[in-house]
Amino acid sequence: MKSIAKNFFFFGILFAKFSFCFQHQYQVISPLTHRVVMRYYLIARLTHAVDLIEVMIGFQKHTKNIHMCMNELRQQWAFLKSYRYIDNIDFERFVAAEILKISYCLFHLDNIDMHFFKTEEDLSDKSVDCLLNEIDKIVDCLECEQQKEPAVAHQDTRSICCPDDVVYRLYVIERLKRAFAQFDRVEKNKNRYLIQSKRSPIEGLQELEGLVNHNLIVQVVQHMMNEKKLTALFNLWEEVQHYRYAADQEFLGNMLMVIFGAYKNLLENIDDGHEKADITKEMQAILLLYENITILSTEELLSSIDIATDHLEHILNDLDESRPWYQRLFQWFLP
Amino acid sequence: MKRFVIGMSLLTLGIAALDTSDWLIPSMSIKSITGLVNRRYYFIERLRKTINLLTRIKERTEQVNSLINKIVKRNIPIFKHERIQYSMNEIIKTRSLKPLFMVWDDFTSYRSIEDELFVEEFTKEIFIITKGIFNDQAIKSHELSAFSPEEILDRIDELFPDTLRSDLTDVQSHIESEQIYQRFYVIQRLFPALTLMHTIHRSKEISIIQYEEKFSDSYICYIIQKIAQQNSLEPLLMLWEDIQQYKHMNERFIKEASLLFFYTYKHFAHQLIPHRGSFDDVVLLYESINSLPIEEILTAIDTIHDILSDQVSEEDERPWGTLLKKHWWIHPVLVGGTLLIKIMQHYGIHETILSFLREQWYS
Repeated sequence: MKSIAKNFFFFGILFAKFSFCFQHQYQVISPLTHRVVMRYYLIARLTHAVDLIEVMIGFQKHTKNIHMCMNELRQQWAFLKSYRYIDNIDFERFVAAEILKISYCLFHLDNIDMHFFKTEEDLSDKSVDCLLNEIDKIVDCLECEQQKEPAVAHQDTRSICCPDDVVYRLYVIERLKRAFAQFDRVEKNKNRYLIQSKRSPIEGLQELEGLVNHNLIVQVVQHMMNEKKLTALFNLWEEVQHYRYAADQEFLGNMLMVIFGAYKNLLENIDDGHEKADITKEMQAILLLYENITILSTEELLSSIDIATDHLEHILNDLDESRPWYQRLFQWFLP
Repeated sequence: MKRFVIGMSLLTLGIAALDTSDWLIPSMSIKSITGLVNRRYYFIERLRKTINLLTRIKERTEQVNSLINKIVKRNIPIFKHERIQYSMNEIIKTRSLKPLFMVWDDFTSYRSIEDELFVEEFTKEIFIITKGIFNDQAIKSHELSAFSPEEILDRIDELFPDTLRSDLTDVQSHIESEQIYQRFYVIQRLFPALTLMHTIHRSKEISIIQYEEKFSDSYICYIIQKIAQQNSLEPLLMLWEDIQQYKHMNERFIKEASLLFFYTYKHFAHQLIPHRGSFDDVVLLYESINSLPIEEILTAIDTIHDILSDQVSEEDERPWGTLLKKHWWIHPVLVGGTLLIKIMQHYGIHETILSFLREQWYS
């Protein structure tokens, strides 16, 4: 009796502790909310493909049949975007399958296995994630054919996304928006901002190659070094904004490392009118963080990128203010 | 025996803790970081309008500048957060609101996501500055300490002259992720219908609806009263703006707002559809819509939207005259541009500018 009481005592303590920890760490959401988040994710994943289809339809002449399918798809896409039939997974699968079918018809790609499905029934068996993966494959190949630099070759996404991954990706996108705005600013005005002799923000990225393990990120680094451009990084950013690989933690960590590495190199190559031997306090902090890049957590990497972004923004603003009036006027006219 | 009783009571306590979080009913859980991101999203949406309004006060008079300085100086001791204190000091130094907007940039970039004090004090900072500018009233330090950040958001809204209601009976001290998601969902569902309603309201002449149905939410009643007083649907569109800003986060409000949209949309369809056979059948289906859940009301709005959108065709081709009248700035820009080129040629600076442009083009 005594031992039962003792067991109850310890079990009670453990259970109470677990339940309070659970309540503290997690919030409960209803199935409806779960569906809303997953619909948001689906829309973000499909938007790029639908936009491409619309462009292709506008450029080429097609049969009546395709136009009819397209009209049907437009309506279904509008329903999907306005969150109708939220608890109907079959509807989502149907729209994804329609997009896939039209893509197969529109883009006659040689390097795509066209036998993903043989009959209509084959498609109904596939999960939405599987269909999304297949659509992405087509989009990647199409971009490859259109000479758009293939920064991100296709990789199957095995892990399935959950609401936490979707919201976390939204958070990462919002955190990185400012960083990419500054990248864009430098990329558009290389001649003005970068040191004359270098004029390439990717000098010194070689060291990153050994630090990243994710296949896609390794490709991005190699591509950036070969082309001496940031274009591959911008393509990667597009993929991030389309919520691809949202459940892949390694992808996220490696991507942040590359962004921070690119930032560090950019700051070293910026022509701020000072001798490079005089390292500022901010730059010292950035270099110190870069030395420890492999042991930084995702949140710490994001904060490091923030520090670098603020520093770069400050330098660029100073550089802009020192320009003659007509150059500023020209800049003002540019979109 | 004593241990047994304590063990049992802890077990019950543990079950109760899980039970309050609805763990035992079929539902899903999200991580605390997800909850924090949702909360930040909510605050951004709620504060966006106020910040936009503050950015519009660009051409401030010296009087407004000194007023801001006075308010900020007086209230610095309220704040404990380093970033907020710094921005307040910078506002005094620079005599502008730019430091506030810099904090806003950080806020919208989801920085310091786990810092609750940052959220709380930034909301307070906006409240103090807005209240100072619009009401010119002093704030006592204890006046704000009693409120949660969510409650301060409602008090910020109360400051604006265009706010329809000053009654804050439904203010909630904490907003759950679930409520934010549900509002997001309702906004997405209503968006196409409300966009079309707005277009019709602007382009076609439609008589104002007299609502015969009874509503219990005081804000909805106020909107109906305003529609009748102003003989316009503008208050309804303001209600839509409020919904999009995540205001009034309670279920009764959103249900009655959806009902109001349904009745208005039905009234639009009655006036615009000449042969109403199929439409009348649909309306019959929704005779007792008041008793239906919100999901059904949204479906009813969608049904009317589908019928109405087929009827209303947008005027794509506009005559040149109308286009030029709408884009009135084309004429002055053309004339001004030509004059500018002539002046530059006269003073000989066009060569310098052209060479710069050439350099830009080739780069």
